[in-house]
Amino acid sequence: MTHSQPSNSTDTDPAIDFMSLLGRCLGNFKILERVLVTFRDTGWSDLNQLEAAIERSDYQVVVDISHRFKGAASNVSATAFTKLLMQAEQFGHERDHFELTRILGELRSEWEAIRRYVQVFAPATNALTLDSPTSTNEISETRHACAGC
Amino acid sequence: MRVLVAEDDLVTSFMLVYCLEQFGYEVTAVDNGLEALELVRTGEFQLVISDWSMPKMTGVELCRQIRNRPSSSYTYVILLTSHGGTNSVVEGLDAGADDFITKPFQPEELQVRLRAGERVLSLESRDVTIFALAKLAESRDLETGAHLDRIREYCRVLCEHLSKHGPFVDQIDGDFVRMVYLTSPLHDIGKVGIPDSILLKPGKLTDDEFEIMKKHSLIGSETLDAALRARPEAEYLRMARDIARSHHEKFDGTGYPLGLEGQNIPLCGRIVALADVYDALTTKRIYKSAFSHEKSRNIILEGAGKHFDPAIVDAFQKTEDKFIEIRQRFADHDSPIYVEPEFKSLSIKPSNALTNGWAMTAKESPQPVTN
Repeated sequence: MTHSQPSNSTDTDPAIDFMSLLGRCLGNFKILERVLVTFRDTGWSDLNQLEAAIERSDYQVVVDISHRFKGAASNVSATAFTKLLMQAEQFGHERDHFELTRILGELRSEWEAIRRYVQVFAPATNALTLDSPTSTNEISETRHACAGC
Repeated sequence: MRVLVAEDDLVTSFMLVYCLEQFGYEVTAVDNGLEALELVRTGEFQLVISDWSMPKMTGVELCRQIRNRPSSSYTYVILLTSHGGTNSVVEGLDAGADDFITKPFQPEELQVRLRAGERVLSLESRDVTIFALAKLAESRDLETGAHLDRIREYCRVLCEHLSKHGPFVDQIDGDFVRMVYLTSPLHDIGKVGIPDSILLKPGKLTDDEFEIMKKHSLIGSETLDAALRARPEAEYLRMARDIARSHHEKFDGTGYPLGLEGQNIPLCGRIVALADVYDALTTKRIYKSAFSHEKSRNIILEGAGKHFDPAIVDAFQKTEDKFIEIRQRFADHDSPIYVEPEFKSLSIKPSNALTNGWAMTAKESPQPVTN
């Protein structure tokens, strides 16, 4: 793979394709909020783990985290972030530490845009900290309650 | 219907569960393949949506494990993946995946693919139901299991020919052929309601006994009709009922149970009637030896327009080679092929198991039953 271009996101592109995400949530704003908050909380942890893996040149972990994170990002319609994670996964396969370090900076920048976006569209949960376990557990409990487990 | 979701990403899992519940499914979610496999082993899940990359056990390995386990029912597996390219698809299919959904998933696509899975599972249920019923009928019959195999094969040959030639081209399509193949083994299902003293009687039946024996076509059709009322959309039950009721009707109206005539006899019943009689003639029964194909053939041809629909007899003539081949392929172990019995006396009398309309005892040649 050739060295990547800077992130595809622009000042005019939203960090998250709202309508696409809303469609995936079947038009339910409450669910959309929960999805965004969950993504924000789990994603923060994933991003930190990705950074740590890059720092210690653990490329298999880089690939694994990038891959899983990419799936989540694509499902919340974080288009630019998804593309960056695709590149991170590819650079992990290529064991390209230089490009991984560069892409990590772009991921951090794009992640900040997502975080701001979530704050706007999920105001009811703004009080929750990024790494708060409360919201994740709540989602998890809801999920399993719904699933009849 | 219950769906098992195996997905280690919390966001994707949450969204999937929400969508599936909105679609009316009862959903259970786990975050690794190993736990998913344990749940599949409970037998409670026939639909599984699994992520490709998961801790403890990948989705592909989960597929393999599901396929390798002995199970009485099929598990439909959809792999959820952001992998792309032919290699991934091949690897997934090779592991036993039934379908794929790529991330980001689209709810409409998810719903359609699940419906496809449900259709596959319902077909399996149908086949299992028919098989179970056929085995039940077989257990009460003096004839062997190969009889059912031969009947359905004879029917298939006749249907396939008639779908291309003759007056039924517009009535017989691929679905009809498959349906007859599937349901023809149920033609004698009603024998489960005939007392052993009559069903298993080696000698000739009295008139009264034969009247009771004839009821098997109504018992079978009423049973299947009850099932059809519960599931009126199940076309296979409709055809199974028609076959059970009408495979002893005769083209000239002298058959039973209703004495239907000509085209009033369902086409499927007319087809099974010929297949059933041919099989009765060409195989050894407790009351007779096996007739040669030539002798059986002549009897069938003589029955054109009387016992059998002439167009179906014509199809039989055109496909004789295949009948011979089927007869050899599904031969009973204790029934030599091409035995020409020596019949020295003729008589017309009802005998047990001669519900196909031909009566004979061990030393008699076949004659149409004239009750």
